[in-house]
Amino acid sequence: MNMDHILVVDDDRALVDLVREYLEPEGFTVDGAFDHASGLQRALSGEHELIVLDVMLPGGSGFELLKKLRSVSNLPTLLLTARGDAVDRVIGLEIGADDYLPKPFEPRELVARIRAILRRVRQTSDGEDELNVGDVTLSLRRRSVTVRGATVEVTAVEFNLLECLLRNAGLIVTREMLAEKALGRQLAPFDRSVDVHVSKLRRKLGDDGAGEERIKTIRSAGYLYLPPLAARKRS
Amino acid sequence: MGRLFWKVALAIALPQALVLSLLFLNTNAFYRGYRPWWLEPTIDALPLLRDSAIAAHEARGQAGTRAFLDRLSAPQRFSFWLLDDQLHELSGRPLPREVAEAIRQPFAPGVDPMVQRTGALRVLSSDGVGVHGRYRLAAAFDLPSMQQGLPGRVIRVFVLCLIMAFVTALGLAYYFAAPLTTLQRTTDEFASGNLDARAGRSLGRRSDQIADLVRDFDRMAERIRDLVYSHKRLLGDVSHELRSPLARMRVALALARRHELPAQTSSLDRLNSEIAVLDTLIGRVLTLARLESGDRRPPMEDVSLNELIEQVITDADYEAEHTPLRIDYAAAPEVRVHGNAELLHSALQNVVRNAIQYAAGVEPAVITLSLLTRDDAAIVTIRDHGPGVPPDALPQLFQPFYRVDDSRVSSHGSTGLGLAITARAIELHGGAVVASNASPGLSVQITLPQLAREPGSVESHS
Repeated sequence: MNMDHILVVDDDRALVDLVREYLEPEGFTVDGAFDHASGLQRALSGEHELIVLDVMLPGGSGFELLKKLRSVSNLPTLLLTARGDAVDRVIGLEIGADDYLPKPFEPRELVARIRAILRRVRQTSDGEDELNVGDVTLSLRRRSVTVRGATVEVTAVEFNLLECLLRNAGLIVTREMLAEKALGRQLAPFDRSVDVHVSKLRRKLGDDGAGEERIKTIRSAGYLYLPPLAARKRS
Repeated sequence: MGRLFWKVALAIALPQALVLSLLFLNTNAFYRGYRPWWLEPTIDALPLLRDSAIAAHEARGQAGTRAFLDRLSAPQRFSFWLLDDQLHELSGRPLPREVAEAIRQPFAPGVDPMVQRTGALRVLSSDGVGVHGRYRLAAAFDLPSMQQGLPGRVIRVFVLCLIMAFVTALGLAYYFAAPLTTLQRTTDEFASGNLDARAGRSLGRRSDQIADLVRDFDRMAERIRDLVYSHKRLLGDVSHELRSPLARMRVALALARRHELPAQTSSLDRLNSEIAVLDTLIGRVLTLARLESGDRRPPMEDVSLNELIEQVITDADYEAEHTPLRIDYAAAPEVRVHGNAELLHSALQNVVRNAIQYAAGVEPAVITLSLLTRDDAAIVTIRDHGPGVPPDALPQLFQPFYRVDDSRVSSHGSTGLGLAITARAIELHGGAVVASNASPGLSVQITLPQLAREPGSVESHS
């Protein structure tokens, strides 16, 4: 079995060592970085499948690292945030983290989250190459999105979210289902992850050309991808 | 301005106003009562003048009468006329109408001279008998200034004095009361939790006991604030630093469990649960520190209180599964507030958990929960039927780490921070928490500003 290469960026060296010790028998190899500069450098090396990033780093916060990383790469990112800090979580997801985990974390949970993200990234379709709804095209093999021919940069989670919405275009998709499909986990109470990801996706896709938002919020139900205009007129 | 201002102002202004008014009234009375020096002698001399005028008329006719009366009359003071019994003027001097009207009366016996007032004039008449018949002498005294009391310019001076008395009184009162009012308002603000409230900003270079008092208060406030902040920061910093070893402990424990021997299981379980307790405690201290620093507002949205409360009750039912506890719940429909659902949930949950702790083991083991709306406020009341709280402990219930009874140290997860977090979270939402004894039991009332009812669901796109 080939080992997944994980980068852990945290200024607590002892913790990184412990995490390495814990993760290796689980089938991961762990690379550590202990500050902002070396963390960014290692993250950009292209050697890793995923980065686990602590928000509180000396010499520039984890948020800044993530922001710089996201301007050039969609490397899947799991953010370690302060427990109970809703602001941290929302900022992290806004900047482009795929998921977050409050620190101190349960190691089993860490492994589960890492696996969930990686599984979603590698999700392959059975046979299909492309998914086409209106002017949006998902290339399932290359995991890329084009809107009216122009490529739109999305993270792994956003891609999964969009795929799920498009497959159910015109139907209400619950937040729980989106969490399951896109994050690979269940929503915790007051977890706004799905909502933050959806609102980012909405911004990236723009309107549907007729001035309507593509993804509608259905209060206390979920989200709905508006089918293309032609399909709506027919019905 | 406060009561002190009005007390000082009135204490200064009222005596002055009183003295001025008395002075004014006295002067006015004196002035009104004043009779010119020539009045009495002229009145006394009236019969003599009458007889002389009659004699002049009978001896020298109209011209003689006129000459005599002209000589008697003095402009601005008095003038005289002689009339026959038909009330015809005999001297040819012009008789003003008001005088003529005043003396046109039958000759009354006994009253002589007769005195009448018409306007500013005082008209006197006296009857006498000459050789050729009966005559009447009329005299008009012009007394305008006496009639009207004090002249206007004197009154104006009095009024000016009165106004100045009030203005200086108000000014002086303001000088005394303004810094004290500011100080009082600031103390109030400080006491209700705004540690940055200061009173001395408007003082300038003023230097007296009052100014010193205000400055001393500011120094004291500064010191208290620093102490409180360093205390809070310490708690937050320590908790923050504890996160790292705690994170390492968790991973280390997980590693240890990989090679767990049966004999170690109970110790490792124990370790796990103790780490969880520490984790909860630290999490709560950090939550509280974040709420109190208030520098980052949590994301706010439209939240249904009904849903939140139902969720809290579901959790509570689950936690109290093995106790004979009942939760009675009554709610107004569709109460929505603007807030952070997670914070509001933990605020409500903390109060309910506290109630469960005190409701357990008493009769009736019932918690009453209600959600009402009044005007623009949503009111959540949570009541248990436990022993309640001593009245003097009520306000301290929402202080961190405060426990009513030291012997009741928590056994399961109570950190002494729950209600403090509730209070800060509710305050952050612009609401208030009040605890009171419902005898029996404790009643906690949470008030939150309610969102206006929407005419229809905006987000349901059709």
